[in-house]
Amino acid sequence: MKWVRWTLLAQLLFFGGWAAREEWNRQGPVIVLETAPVDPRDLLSGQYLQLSYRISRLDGVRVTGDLPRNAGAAVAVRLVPAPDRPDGRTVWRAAEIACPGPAIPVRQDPAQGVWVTGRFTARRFGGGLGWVEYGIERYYFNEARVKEFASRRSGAFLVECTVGRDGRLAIRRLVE
Amino acid sequence: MNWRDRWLDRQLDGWSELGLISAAQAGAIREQRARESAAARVAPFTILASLGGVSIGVGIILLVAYNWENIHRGWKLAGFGLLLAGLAEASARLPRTRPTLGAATILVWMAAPLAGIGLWGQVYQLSGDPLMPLLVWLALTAPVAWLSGNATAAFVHAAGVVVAVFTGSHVPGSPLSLEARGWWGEPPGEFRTTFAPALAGIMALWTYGAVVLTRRLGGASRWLFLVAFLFWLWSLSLWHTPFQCQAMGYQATLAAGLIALYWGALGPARLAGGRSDGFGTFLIALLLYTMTFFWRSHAPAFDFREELYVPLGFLLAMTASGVLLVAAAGARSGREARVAGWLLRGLVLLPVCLGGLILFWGLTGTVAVIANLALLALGILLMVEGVRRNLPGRINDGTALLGLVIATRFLDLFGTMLRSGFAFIVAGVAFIGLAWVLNRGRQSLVVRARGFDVGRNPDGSPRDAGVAP
Repeated sequence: MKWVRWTLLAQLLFFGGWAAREEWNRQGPVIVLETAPVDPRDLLSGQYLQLSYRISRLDGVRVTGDLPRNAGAAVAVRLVPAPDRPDGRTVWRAAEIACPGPAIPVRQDPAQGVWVTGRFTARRFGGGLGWVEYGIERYYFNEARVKEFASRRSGAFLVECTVGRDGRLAIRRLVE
Repeated sequence: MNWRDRWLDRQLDGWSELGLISAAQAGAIREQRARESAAARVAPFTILASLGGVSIGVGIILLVAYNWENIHRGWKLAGFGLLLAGLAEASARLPRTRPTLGAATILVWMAAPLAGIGLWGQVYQLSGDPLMPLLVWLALTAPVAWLSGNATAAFVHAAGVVVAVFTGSHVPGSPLSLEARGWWGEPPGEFRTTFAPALAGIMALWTYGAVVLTRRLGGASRWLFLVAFLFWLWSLSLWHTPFQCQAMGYQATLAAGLIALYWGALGPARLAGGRSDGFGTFLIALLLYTMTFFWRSHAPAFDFREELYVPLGFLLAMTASGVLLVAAAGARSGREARVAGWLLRGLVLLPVCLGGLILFWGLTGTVAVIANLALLALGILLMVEGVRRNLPGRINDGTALLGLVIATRFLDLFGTMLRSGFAFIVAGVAFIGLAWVLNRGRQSLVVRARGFDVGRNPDGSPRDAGVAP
């Protein structure tokens, strides 16, 4: 039964490699984003909050190149800090969209803004230039915390994210 | 003694009294049954112990689940790795010693990578395209499906291909998505550059699934796969894809083409021999029955927008493939089989012709009349086939179909109770006449098969004279 060992090895390598990549990506700079949560249920991964972000809606951003004609096209969005909240926190806003995106440096200087990657989904939703998804639209949590999340007011969350070294955003935690 | 044993006991007594079996044979059957029952019986303590084991297992799972967020992600990932290794090892060892448990373990091992993908998504807060996890899972479990020799694993793998195709083609934004992405009226370049690669990827997935089935499975699995494939083709015309067209004429013709494709792919031998297929016949009857209601439909509902050349090309490709497959079925030798084969092929292709009449000429009334007549013909054909091949179920199907058509049309056409009453009486007389003719045909078939008159014994004496045939 050699094939069993080879198959297991392939599976372990895949999952190990995937974990290593995600751990490597967690080493990038940390930024805070504004959200609007809802609460559906995913059969694959249990409870999660469906999140949408202000940076997803491309209002008043500079366009470099042409906006994609097709949904699903890869784009890069430059985020800049915007310290204009009444509570004094610094959240990050979308300033520029590029398609095709520039080569993203492994180490980005947050003071100059950070480039993140996403997928252009549609022009039709919500007006503006369009809509971008970043792969951080779900926040998974334990079933034991359902009540805790149900009692929170929609839109009151901020999300702390890591900007991966490949430009992918990853959620670290929710902050009030 | 359970109800099955009691039933068998009564039957054995009855058969012994009739002289069908001897008392010794009845005794031997009872002893064999008693041995089988004893072997199949599970000791009460085994059930109790199993219940205890399951309870402990569920309890541990719930305790771990409650504290899930407090467990470091490293432990979660390592635990999954150990589980995967344990399942693989058990899949290698158990099938030799305990085949049933081994087969179940292989299936759990097959499901484990999908759970792992979910776990990774949860641990690292990842979300995105739902197709990619399915494709990765298919790749990681392909060796299990191909090399384990487990038919259920191969079936699950092929089912995974079907789920991936439906997910990929109908989720906007996915790399294989065929859903139009908010831009209508785009030039053909849009189709060639965006949808054609996705379509090629999806067809590659279908081909892979078909290869898995051909090499590893057969029978009902292939039938299910074929039905899923045809349903997917049809879904392209209903969902928001470049092939979408909801005009009634288009839908009727496409359904007819796909039904022809079903018959052609299912088995040319059936078509050539004139042997009907239960599900295929049901599809034809359903489509023809739907067409009978087109009589009162308004023409605008059947409008087909000629500028939609992609749906039109799709429609022509599907119907042409179906027609060619049906026509290519070679005729069987023997006049009777040849005639039945041609009749069946005509019946399969008739809805395509009717769809064309609606699509291009809008002849809804004509189509409704022909569909009514075709349904009656189908009912009679089923009854004749049932008699010819001694299949009572087919005769019942034909009778039910005739009854349905006549009842629907009488209520539809005659309206008042008086006229419907007369019509029902006439139809009833026709039914009785048909039953008499078919019964005579069945009797003559039995006589031909046995070589003597049904009502008489071989020596010519009446059947009730006590001489066995």
